[in-house]
Amino acid sequence: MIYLDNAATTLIKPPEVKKAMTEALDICGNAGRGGHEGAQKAAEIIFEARVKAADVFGTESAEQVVFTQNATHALNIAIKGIAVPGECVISGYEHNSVVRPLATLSEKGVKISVAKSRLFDSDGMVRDFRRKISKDTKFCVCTHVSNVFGYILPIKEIDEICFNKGIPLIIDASQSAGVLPVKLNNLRAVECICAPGHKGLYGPQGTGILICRNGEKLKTLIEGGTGSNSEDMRQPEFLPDRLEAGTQNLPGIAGLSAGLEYIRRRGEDKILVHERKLVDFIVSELVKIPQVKVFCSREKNLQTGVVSFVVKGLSSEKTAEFLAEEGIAVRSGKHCAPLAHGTVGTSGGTVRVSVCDFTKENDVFMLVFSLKKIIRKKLLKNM
Amino acid sequence: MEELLFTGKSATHAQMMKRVLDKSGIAARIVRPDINITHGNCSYAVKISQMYFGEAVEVLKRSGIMPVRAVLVYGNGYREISI
Repeated sequence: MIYLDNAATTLIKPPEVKKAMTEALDICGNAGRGGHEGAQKAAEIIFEARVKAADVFGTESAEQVVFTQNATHALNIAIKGIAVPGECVISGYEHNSVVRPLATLSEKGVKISVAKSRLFDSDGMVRDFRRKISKDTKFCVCTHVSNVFGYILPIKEIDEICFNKGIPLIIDASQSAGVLPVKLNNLRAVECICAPGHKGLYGPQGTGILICRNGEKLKTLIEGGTGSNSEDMRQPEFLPDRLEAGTQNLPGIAGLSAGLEYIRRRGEDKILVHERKLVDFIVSELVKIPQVKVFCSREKNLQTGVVSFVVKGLSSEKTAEFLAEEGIAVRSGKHCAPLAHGTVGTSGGTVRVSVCDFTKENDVFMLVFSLKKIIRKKLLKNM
Repeated sequence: MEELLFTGKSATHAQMMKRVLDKSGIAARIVRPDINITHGNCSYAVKISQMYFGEAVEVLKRSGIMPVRAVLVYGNGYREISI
């Protein structure tokens, strides 16, 4: 199988990830729940992972790193922890992991306001964020990169707008972590950065990261054992314990730690260059096919290794099905982001191709070759 | 030799202290202190030799990672040390 669905999860991981997970299963007890060797070893592994995550996300302290089950979990903690009745401004490119928690909070007086712009129109997005933020705005949430189109949103400018208006910002780094720098210490209004462990950070599924600036102020999503302050019936106020109730996913975090090490060693800039090179090839070939509409940016620095397209007269599901028959894995449909499709006007969904650091040139060559074959067959059938 | 405990508010806090001390050449070990020391709470602490007390406090102060308490442990007893 040629795997081009890395925006959903990266399938090929650095070999160290599996090794770290296996070792953790072999030697570790429950971190923070004892003083014996097994518990200590587990705590060391988790602490090392925190230190690496703090480095990757530009935080001063390992205590600001909270491990979660995935990015959705991190976003739920951040959004529900920060929310107060009033308005929340989001971009028109948000995933349901942002939209649905906010919709649930509408029962508690949270109103959603959407800042929209045309695809790859960063100036337009900045303008609409500025326009939509009002005296009723209590917080903002913005994705760094659209999971459908690979569009890099102007997060730095949106952060500045929020900072100047004293409004906290939550960043969804689901598609940028491991590909673009997302540093808390370079951003001023950002309170939380939410990221999956299993995508661009090359950890296993079931892992996520929440980076907090002032996490001790967040309301908790769940409460329970932390191995600390056990006499107190209330959840600890300090991080990371406040937001990490219950036993941690130790094998997962061990794998994520190895993934983070890979990112630190290889460098996000090199990964992005590799991914863009592959996407550039895909785009350059797809634009030549009259039946294909490809959603790409003229400016190179506005798109990551994710690209969407549609084939005229063929649904995205059918296109993906035909590609799967050729041994090529891509994703079709709405990608859990109907808001983004509404913004761009792709109500029928798209076919999404997403590469990673382990994708080879031959993989994307085969995608183009197979797609041309599918379209040729379709044309012959219609004659 | 008597040993000194720097108690942490969490396992992460204790590990942060250990890292800073280790980097300064002060051997530190993570332990679960007696619950009498932590007012009945489960917690973690770093254990160092008493002879490094002053140096260790300076190192922790410089790093901004201060312990919750410093406790000297001897025989079956202990006493808190002001930092």
